[in-house]
Amino acid sequence: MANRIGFKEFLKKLDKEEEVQLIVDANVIIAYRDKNHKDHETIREFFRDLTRDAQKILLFTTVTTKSEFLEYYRRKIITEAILAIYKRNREKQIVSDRVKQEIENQIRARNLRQNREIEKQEQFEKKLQAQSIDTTELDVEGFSIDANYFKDSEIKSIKKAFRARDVQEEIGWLKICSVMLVDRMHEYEKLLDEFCHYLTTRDEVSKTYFIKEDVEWRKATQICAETGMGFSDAMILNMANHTNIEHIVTLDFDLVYGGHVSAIHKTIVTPTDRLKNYKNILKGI
Amino acid sequence: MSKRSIIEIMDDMDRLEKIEITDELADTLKDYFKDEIDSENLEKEQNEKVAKGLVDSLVGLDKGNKENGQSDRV
Repeated sequence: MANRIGFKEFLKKLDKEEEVQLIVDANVIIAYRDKNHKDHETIREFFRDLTRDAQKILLFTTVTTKSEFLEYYRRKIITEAILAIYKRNREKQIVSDRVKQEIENQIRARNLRQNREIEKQEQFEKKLQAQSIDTTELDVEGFSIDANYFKDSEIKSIKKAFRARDVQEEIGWLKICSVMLVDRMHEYEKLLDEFCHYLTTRDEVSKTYFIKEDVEWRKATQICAETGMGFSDAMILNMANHTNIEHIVTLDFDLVYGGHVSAIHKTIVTPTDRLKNYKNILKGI
Repeated sequence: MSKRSIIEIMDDMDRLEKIEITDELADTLKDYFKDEIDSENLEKEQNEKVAKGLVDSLVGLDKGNKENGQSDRV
């Protein structure tokens, strides 16, 4: 029996009297948060229905997912802060032209990336339509954080440009971080800690679900190698295998694929309309 | 986790995602870049002057000085 289930089917089967435990992937949390994510509405709807139907919900994730999510948040906030500074500078100059030029260079790089993604998607959709394939039923393209937010290398270029000439004390970029990031990152982390439990034997709640006391970290390497999946995903499957939590929620095909090979006792929960696309690829596993 | 808390947490996260450039940050940046902005403005002014001088020096070059026996150039 395939160990995957669609959101709709999962919600239908839900025992309303019981506590629901779910391991969530980073992309689920990001999609929930980010309005630009193509699965934003799907995930919001899923959690809305889940909170409506379930008596009690316990969400779990790995510490790797936490770092992935905080990294996403850092890039999002820095990007939006830089764009806000750029806009403010257009009204009244607050940074030098050199800095403005550097920001413009990086905005251009980001915009080119966005355009490329749009073109790529349009071309792919045209190709599929020419083959009379209903593109509304297809997972055409995954969300790319790169398309919307500055990449780390772009942030570094802007950061370097923010060092004013002939000023002894460095307060430019550091001030931006202190105003925009420091408190926000801490608060955000606290909220994330509230949102889910981390799968470690030290977490009071998580440890009650562990079936093995000692975590075998090397098994993540084996899982990663078995299907060539990303290490972060392999860590999720490995930790899931150490617990009796059955369900893993993801938007990532790789986790669905890898789950069939490396976490056969777990059930992967993913959007219903996507399962159809996976049917052929997962045949024979 | 209670039913309300997921929604509450998401609302709190929404609040944390609102970005606004405070006057204090704008003033700090303006002060920090003051010398560089002044120097860039000075450089711009000088470049403009040089450019204007160049244009001024070019004006009239197409007119020959008859007293010196030059003809108008086209």
